[in-house]
Amino acid sequence: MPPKPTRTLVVDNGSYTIKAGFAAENAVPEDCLQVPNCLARARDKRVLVGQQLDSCRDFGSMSFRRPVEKGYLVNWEAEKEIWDRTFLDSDSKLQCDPRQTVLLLTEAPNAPSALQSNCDQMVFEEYEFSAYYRCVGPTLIPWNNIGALYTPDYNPSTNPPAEACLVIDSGFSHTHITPIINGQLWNSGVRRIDVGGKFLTNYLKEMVSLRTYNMMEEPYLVNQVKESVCYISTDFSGDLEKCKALKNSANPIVVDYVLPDYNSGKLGHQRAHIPKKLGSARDDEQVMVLGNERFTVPELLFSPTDVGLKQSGIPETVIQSLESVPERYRNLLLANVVVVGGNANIPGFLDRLQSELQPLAPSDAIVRIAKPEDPITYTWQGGVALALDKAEMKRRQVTRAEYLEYGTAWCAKKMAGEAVSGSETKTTETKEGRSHKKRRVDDS
Amino acid sequence: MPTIEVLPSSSTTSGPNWTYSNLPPALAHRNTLPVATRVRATRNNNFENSAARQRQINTRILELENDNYRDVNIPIPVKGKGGRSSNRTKASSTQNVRRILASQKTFANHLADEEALHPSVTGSAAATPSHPTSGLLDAQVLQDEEDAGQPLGYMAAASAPPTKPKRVFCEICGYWGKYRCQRCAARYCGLECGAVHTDTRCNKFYA
Ligand SMILES: [Zn+2]
Ligand SMILES: [Zn+2]
Repeated sequence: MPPKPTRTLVVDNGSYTIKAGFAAENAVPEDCLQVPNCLARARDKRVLVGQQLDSCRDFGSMSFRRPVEKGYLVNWEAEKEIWDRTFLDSDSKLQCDPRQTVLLLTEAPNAPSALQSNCDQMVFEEYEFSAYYRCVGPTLIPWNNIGALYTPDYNPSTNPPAEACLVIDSGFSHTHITPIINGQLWNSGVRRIDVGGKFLTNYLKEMVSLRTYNMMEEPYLVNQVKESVCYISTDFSGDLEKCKALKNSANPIVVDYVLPDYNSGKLGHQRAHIPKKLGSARDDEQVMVLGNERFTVPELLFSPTDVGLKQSGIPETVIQSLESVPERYRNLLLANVVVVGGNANIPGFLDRLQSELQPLAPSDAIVRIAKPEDPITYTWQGGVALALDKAEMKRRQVTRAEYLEYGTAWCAKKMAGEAVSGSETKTTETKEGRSHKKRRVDDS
Repeated sequence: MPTIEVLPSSSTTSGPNWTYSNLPPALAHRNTLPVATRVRATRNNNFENSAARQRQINTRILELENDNYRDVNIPIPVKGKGGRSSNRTKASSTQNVRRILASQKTFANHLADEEALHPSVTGSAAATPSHPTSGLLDAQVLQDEEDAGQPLGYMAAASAPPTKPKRVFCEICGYWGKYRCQRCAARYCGLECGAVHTDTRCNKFYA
């Protein structure tokens, strides 16, 4: 008998960063390690892997290889290199012996089944984790105390998950709208908008390259510029008119971004606009002036057709999603909207969403939208909460012994909450249907 | 005009081996239409709705999803001399693991496989089977209209197009694109940006 598993490693495996850490009581966002999920090649041809990127100071003309493509784990050759260094190397904070570790791993909704079984095979055959639960990332959100997001002193009388929760997860690759009812993903209501952080960065890159500096080979820098200056306007037409009518020097929207100097190690930063003729700009700095780019770029989240992408923006897509959910849950979901992912941090996101979603919602609906303190690690935090519920984890996870006995198809079914036969735990799972109602009856 | 800077004719140097360039992107011509299409476009008032135009838009959207401007091949770094790599190298790996690690399939490849395996009603998320027909579900559950259902699949989960009309913007300054170039269909806001377009950008790069 192998030694009993002692720890659970929670991994939110995003396309931009891996959010990972061990489950522990009173875990805080700082317990979550954020590892760039990429191989990066610098100008000097050095290849940096994952966490090594944190010590890099020269991002000029850097190119990237990302194992997670469009939000889905596609390339295991690259992912294994990053995972090995993150989870196996003795000098890593998250070094563990997989044979004594349970892995809780996220995936994006609607993953192709071949990618899911590749993942399961790598987890059990290459890493040999003792047990494993693969689930759709946003389903972990209701395990957090989401009531406290709306009412700070809210203290749930019952354990999570919250009854209904509409998660808007806007990350690097895409934006997903995911209704979750009684802890279960409402599959028919899941919608995706193909606009994410990378899309916005590339759009800004294209824009500034046509208008100011050629930044086509500087995705890292343009991403920093985006994070520093972009905001979502609550008065798009008004702001656009302002940028047309006002001189730069009189326009509060216009800002300067002082470009980093990788030779001297000076970092880039935003500052108030200084007109060139005043001569106060220093000779040794190069400045990118940004006006309407600041809000026309993240506007794509609310209006993808601005760039020709034939999809609705977030508010309309939320309504499309709700139309696939039984009517009696719709108001409940609208009153429990949670926004997560890196784009949730763009200033103005919540105000804009609130102002556009309320008029689209049923007249008797109260739209409540919350952004957690750290929208990037909130999924991971939910994973920690689930992992600490030992009984629930046991019900959901698949052990290595089960994998070896029953194979990938059986494991995929069990992790998807479907009926399986012959489980080690000898529960009444053969009777358990997909319906959350049925399941809750069985559980009680 | 808030966003047009008067650019120096050549880039300034900020160091011995590093500078930001004001020169237009080297590959900006990639979006140039074949000459024949361009001539046709000149005569075709419906170019905005044409298949060629749609192809252009699709190409641009794909470019906005790229990780790098150019195609790059970044190999896994060669393992260092230290003992670090040795404890990561397993003595034997299974056939599955070898196959997965050797796979160079892209997401598009996997998506095509998945569609071949389980064809979905493309672009119509509403037309989903309301009930999975699994023999394991009892009659009561089958009658339950509140079933979370099976995953829709990647294609069917895409957001549907909006009902609002598409907005158009000046490609030069980002203001509303009231006018359309007669030669290449690019949008601009007025005389000033129209002239900049004709002088510097016409037929080069637009969307
Ligand atoms: Zn203009
Ligand atoms: Zn033109």
